[in-house]
Amino acid sequence: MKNNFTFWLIAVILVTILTRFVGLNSIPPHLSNDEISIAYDAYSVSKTLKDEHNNFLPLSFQSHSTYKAPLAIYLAIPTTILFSNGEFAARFPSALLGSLTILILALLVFELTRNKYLAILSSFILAISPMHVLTSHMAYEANLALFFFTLGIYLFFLSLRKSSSITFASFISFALSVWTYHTEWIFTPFIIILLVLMNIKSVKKQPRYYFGVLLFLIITTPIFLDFLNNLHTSTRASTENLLREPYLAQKLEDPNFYLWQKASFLIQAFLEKYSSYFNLSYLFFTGYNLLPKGDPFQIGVLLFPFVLFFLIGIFNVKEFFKEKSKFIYTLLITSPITASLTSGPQSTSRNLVTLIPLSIVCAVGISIFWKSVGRIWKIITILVIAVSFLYFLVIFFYHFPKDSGEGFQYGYKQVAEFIKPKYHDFSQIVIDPRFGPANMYAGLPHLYIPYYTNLDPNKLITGRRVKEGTFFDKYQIRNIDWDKEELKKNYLYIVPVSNEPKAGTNLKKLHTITLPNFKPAYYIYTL
Amino acid sequence: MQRRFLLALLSSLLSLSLNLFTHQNLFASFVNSLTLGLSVYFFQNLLNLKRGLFHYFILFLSGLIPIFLYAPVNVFFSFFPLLILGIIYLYNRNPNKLFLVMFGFILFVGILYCGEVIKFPFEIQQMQLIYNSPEVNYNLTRHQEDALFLPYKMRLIVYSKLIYLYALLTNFFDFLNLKNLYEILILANLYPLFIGIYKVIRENQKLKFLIITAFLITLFIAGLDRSPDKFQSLYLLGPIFLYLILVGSQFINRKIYLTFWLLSLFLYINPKL
Repeated sequence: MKNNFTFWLIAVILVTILTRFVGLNSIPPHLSNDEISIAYDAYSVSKTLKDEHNNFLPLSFQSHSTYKAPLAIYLAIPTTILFSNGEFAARFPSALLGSLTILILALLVFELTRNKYLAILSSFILAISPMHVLTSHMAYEANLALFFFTLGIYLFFLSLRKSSSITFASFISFALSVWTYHTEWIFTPFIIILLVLMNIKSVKKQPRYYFGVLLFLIITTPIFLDFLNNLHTSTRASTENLLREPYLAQKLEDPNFYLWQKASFLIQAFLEKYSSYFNLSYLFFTGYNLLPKGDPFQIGVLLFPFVLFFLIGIFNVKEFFKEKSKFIYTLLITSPITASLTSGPQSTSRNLVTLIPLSIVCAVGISIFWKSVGRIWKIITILVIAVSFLYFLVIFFYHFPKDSGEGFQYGYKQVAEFIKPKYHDFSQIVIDPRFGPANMYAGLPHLYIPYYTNLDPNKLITGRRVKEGTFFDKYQIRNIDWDKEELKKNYLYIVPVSNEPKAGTNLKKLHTITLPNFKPAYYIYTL
Repeated sequence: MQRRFLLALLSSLLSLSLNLFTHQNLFASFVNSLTLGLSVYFFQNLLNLKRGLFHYFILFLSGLIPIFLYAPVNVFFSFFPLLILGIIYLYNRNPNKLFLVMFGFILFVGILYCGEVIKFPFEIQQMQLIYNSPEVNYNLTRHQEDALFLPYKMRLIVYSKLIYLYALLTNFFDFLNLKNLYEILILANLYPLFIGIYKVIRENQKLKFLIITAFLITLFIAGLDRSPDKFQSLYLLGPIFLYLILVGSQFINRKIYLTFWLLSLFLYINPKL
């Protein structure tokens, strides 16, 4: 029995290290849109104490048409200093805290059930969750917030039978989750209220909980004040709420509908979103959604065999968690609410909190299943889970980086690597930021290039951002129209493959940047 | 006895009027409301529901449940749910395997016809089936060519037609979502429905096996179908859903349920998004 437990413990640790740290700098194949914002601001603050927009130690970071909560950026500063600019520095805090979330989940389940097997099983399920592997492989605010959120819950339950310092640690951890990601702005206060109400008998007699709540309010006040001050701007909470959903916004603006009809539309839109987050196909088959659309090898938030255990577990949580089962059910039911109040397609990062109750319920399901089946079924179960995990590894380590280059703005790092040794050979470097079919997307070379070339952040801060583009140091980030472009000597021109100059110009192609699937992405020219 | 009959009649009349209002198909309206009325009557007796305003309310408003307001493509298909109810009745009186096989067969054939996977009399819609998906075939070939880290013969095993089973399961669970359920049963009824499922599974009721069989067959066919329609595919399960709702209704918090009903009525009378 003891050996069994040790085996699972080693398996969880090995799987965690293998899936969180191996290939951290190459999978995903490039820093994404959101990651480069975090990475660059961490770099900029580490050098100048200012973000790219010249704000001194901001509480919310402006990032391409929205704002980001600050903690993810501040946490990336030490790793940026330590490891220097690159994917590893940007992603390391997420990988580390993602790994620790697995440990905290085990401790939480043990605290609630005193069952070490259920605890290790829950953490194992989280460790092999494709979505948690992915979010831990990226500089994802949601993943960091999940750590603080889970830690807050664990410490809260621990504090019910331990000392006051743990109570304060719990509320500090909850507050840090608010500092890390916008979903937690709503969800963390809700969970605190829920925890307090569910444990009101113990809590109301002890002043430390009142002080804990006060501490939470004090720590989070600057964030909320900053939000209120910036209501007129494009904070994420204002730009990405459900009301901005095009099909809903259209109905809400239609004067032919009465107010109560509009209220009904809003409720319907919310219910539809909420329902989508509980779609079992999304949770166990397609939620990973990183292969191209329609690919049948898509993977879910959890591996597909767990759907069976989820269906078993959902009816049996009480067996392990007794009166605490209400908390697990409430966490499961309410965790997608915040994500359902936002616009856009299903977003697992906004709904990452669901991973916690989901892993727990599946672990309950496995435990029940294990007790009630014979040896052959157990072997079959292990085989099916092992095969589905191997498929996931193949997809994650091989197909995903190959197929997803364009989605991650792949190529700017390679452009930067090309420029770096030749920087002094050119007087100006012009980069067309568009990419994708028919140049439909706008990239962020003004962050990627200075980040990967270690350019002094002051140069971007003092640069010009005008309608035509961004101009700093010797860089011009603007659209290139070859018919109007006045070609000059010692200029370097970098264009997406869809904006190749017409034949007959004197431009000389110096280099082609290719995507991981070997398709060309960018061309580099000079006269 | 009279009270139960009266409730069945009232819910049936409510359903009939709404059926006529919704699709004006007299035959389907009549059969649907008859199925509902008989279901209400039968399940009241079977579950021995307590007297009281709350249960009168639930039973009467079952006439609003959209799955009983649906007119299938061929009006004669509206007999299928009635047949299903008949077998549930027989199985309840005498739970032998023959009824279970009959139940499974009628359900299987009924859903294939109602879901237009087979068109009357016997025309299988090949293009509607999951194993003819061009997207799956394309991606399968693509991975077989791309996965250069494996020898070609291994690739044919790793990226094989077995993926259709996965695609079927994906479709199967995609169909089983909350939105589909509340659109055919009304939002408020999901609460007693889930409690009902919980009770039936946990408490080993007589109809447990029959209900699980019904769901598995229905979802299997929905999984086979590339684009299953919730009404077409779940139409035959109307009596089973009603049974589960009534089982669950005995254990729910009434205030929460009534609040959900108010919300449901509000959504019911307003236009769809």
